[in-house]
Amino acid sequence: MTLNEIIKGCQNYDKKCQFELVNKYSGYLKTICRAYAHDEATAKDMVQESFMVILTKIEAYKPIGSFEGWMRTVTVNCALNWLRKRKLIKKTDLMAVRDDKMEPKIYNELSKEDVLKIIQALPDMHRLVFSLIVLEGYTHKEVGKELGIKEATSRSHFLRARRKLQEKLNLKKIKLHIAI
Amino acid sequence: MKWNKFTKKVNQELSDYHSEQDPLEIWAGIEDRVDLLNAKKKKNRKPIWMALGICASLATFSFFFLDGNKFEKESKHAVQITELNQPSQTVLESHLIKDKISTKEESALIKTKIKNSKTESNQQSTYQINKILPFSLRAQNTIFEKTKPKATNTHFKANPLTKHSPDLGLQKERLNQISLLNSLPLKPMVINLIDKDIPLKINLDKIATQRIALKPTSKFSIGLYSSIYLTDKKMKTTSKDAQTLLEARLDKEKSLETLNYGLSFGLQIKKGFGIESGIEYLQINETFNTLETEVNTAIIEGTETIINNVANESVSITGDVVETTTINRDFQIYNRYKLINIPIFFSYTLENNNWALKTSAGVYANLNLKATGRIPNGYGQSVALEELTIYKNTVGFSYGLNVALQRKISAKWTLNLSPSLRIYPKSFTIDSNPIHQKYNLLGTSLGVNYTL
Repeated sequence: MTLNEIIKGCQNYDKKCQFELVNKYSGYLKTICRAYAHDEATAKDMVQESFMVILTKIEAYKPIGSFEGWMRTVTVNCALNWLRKRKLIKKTDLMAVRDDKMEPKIYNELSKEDVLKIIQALPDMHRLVFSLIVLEGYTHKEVGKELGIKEATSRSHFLRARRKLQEKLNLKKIKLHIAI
Repeated sequence: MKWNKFTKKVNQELSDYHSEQDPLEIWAGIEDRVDLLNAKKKKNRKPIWMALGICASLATFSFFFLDGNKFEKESKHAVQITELNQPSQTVLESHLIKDKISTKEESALIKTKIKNSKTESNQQSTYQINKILPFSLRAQNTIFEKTKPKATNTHFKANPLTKHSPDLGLQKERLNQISLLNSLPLKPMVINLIDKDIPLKINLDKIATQRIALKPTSKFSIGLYSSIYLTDKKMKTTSKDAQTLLEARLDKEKSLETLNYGLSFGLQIKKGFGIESGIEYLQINETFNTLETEVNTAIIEGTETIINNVANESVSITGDVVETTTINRDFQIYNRYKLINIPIFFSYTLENNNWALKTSAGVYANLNLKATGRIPNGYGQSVALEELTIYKNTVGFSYGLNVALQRKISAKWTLNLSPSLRIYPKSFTIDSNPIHQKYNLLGTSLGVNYTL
């Protein structure tokens, strides 16, 4: 079944096509959700919620741009809504931190799965800001607007996320060396 | 590696990365909600289609019905009578808008009146009939002179062609010419018919009434019909898990005759072609035979004998023993699938005297489906259809083809005998149900039609 057939079937609420869509994009949506969820179970819930929204709104989908892009936008919004509903987006201001110009050194040795796990292990707000900026290409202004925080706070979260990430990467490096 | 390079690389690599996730697990979590969503969306769509279907039917009927009124108005206008109170002359202007009215019939009507008229008294006024006739030939003028009208009915006292015409041959010739003109192709042109020499009294009201009643080409009819069909039930499944259940259903369910009653409205658009709609009830009947076993156990006081075959010994125990009763019940249950449909059919009729052959084809828009009875559940038991949600609320459109033999039993009434075929292309069960159930019906319909 081609993607167009799947989309048309889903627009006509054909259950087979809906299943095909879930079958084809479960992993893709899971990757997106993992970048916003602190654990696998939450990510799974987010994926299910996202699929429901996608299947509900697919009737209005118009083939402008890629379907994956449209699904990605819907999924990110769903993930953010999921977090909002559970009040996991904290709007406390953070003190600005200095960019200490640290550089990630071991990325090439890491698998995609490792990177995702490291991102997932970041504190909630750091992870959110980092994912929105790095994976979705948001600016700090857009992140501030989306999460209801100040632009400076977004910057601060991002820098802290980078610092945490570096720490985790260093830790990973040590572990990798031990393993070798 | 610089941070911006790091983030760019993370972005590129994770943008199309598919994490490990069992889709069945995700699907299991949302399947119920998807079913609900589908049912809701399809339910929401149904009224739109139904409304559109009903509106289309109503609009079609209204259009033609209103068209009929319009036609009647035109006819009335056509025979509008203007009496000018001139001392010696009264003019009847009869403007016939010649699109649908049969001038032949009208000509025949006038001719009949003239023939039947009798001389009564002296003429006092004159009627002039201006007709828009279908032909641009030379004008013919005729003046019908009117005698003083009586209070009630006016009678034709004079036969202008026989008694009072000074030139009988000329009158006959003129009437022939009128007749000829009337029979020619429709090209509106005013022709005045004047004959000053014919003493004549015409019941104008009657002529007007008869002209109004000139038969339009469109006919509206109403009918009642009843049908009986042989039922061809088709059940299939794509799921291996449902194979046992399917076999049980195929084995235990038997189709009976399908019955149908309906009310139809028909409209003849133009000669031979018509459109029909209405409302009908269809009941698909089936039987479900099942043998159900009920096992009851009770503790009673008695003697239980245990026989040891090996040792060829028996031991009798007196006291509380378990009594087992097995009841086998052979059920025959009637299952019924009740449908309410709106047929929308187009027809073509070939007429020959009192007989006609009508072929019609179209769709039945299903408004409602209700299933009653029991079906097997795949575990040797049965379950009531009312408790199941496997049947749709509506099955959408089905196709129909009828070939009817019609016999006129009076001027207004027609008897129909019609072999007919119906095909239900969509399953009666919801999409998520593994067994799909479709029907084809072949039968005969008997009905009467009343032409308004």
